Amino acid sequence: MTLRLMTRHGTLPVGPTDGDEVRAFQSGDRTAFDRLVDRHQKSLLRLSLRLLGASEDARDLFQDVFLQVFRNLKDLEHPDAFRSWMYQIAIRMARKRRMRPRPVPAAETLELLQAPTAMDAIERREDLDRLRTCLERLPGRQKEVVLLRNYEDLSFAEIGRILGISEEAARANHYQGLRRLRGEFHMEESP
Amino acid sequence: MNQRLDDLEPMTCSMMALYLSDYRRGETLRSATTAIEAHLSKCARCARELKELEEVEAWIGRDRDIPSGELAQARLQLQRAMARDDSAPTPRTMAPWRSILLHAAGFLVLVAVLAPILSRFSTAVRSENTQTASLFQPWMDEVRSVREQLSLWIPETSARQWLKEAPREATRWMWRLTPKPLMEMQETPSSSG
Repeated sequence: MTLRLMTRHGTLPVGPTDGDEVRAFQSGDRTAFDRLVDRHQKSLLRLSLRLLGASEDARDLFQDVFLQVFRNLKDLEHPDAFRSWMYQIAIRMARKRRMRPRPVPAAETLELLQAPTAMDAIERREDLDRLRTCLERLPGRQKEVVLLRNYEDLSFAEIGRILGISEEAARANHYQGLRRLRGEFHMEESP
Repeated sequence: MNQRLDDLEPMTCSMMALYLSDYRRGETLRSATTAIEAHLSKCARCARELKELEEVEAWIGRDRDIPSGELAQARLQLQRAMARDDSAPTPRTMAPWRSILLHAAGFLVLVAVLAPILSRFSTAVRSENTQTASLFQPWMDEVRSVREQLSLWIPETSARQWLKEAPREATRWMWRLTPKPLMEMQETPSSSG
């Protein structure tokens, strides 16, 4: 049985931390890596999807990040900073991918965005579709900060460490990003 | 995190903007929360800003789901990639004694290959030296006649030895020619003081 700690954002498992798992991996326990993947796969895939848009690209990024993590985990000097390190790799790889020529969105992505049956579901889908379009228009740094803050619930200090900027710069980018999102959303609402 | 916020009294609208997200999530210290709420009660613009940011963050909050099946597909793709990665040949680290043995074997092979080449080269050089010595013979005869005329000491050696030992002999010769008072000055360093 896993003990869970109730927090404002939900429940957190009380057990081995990321640092414990990394240290276990470094001392030869390969299954520790699987546990780390289990723990972070959802957030990493969500970040990949929001950073790159197309689901095929996101899956490739997800795979590349975890492969990179697996290859370099034994040399990680600060096991407790695993999550920041993993996001750093993801952001760096996503930036490289964004610089490549953009392919036409994959058919499966379009499928995901199509035809829910209920009317509210359609409205919800349209709403989210509009949000993703607005997110896509944000400048790179602001988009990264908004994703890490609002989707992954990271603190500004951690976001600063991941992106290599100060905590204050992370705050400012977040605020500007949200303002821009709000502006874009109102523009989309009133064509 | 909120230390800087605590230091800033009174709070300005621009500082408020940066800390609204923390305040909304309840991540500010109690003193900072009090300062923010005091400002919000006085400033209608910041209160409106907070409300609008809440709307945007709530809007983003609805977009946290991952399409169904996407995670399973991504995980499967990762497993396949890791299996490929495992089956790929990885460079193996070599034990130190194996590395030493390998280097020694390499050295022996090098010697075995180079020894015949070097011996041939040395034979060729020796014959070349004999030719060179015959070239110098007239010059040596000339030196011998000068020595006899001047009654000076010049080493009586063959041309080949002369070529080899010239620097050493020249030094010795120069030493003999050096005036004695100068030699004494060089040999006895100043003992005064």
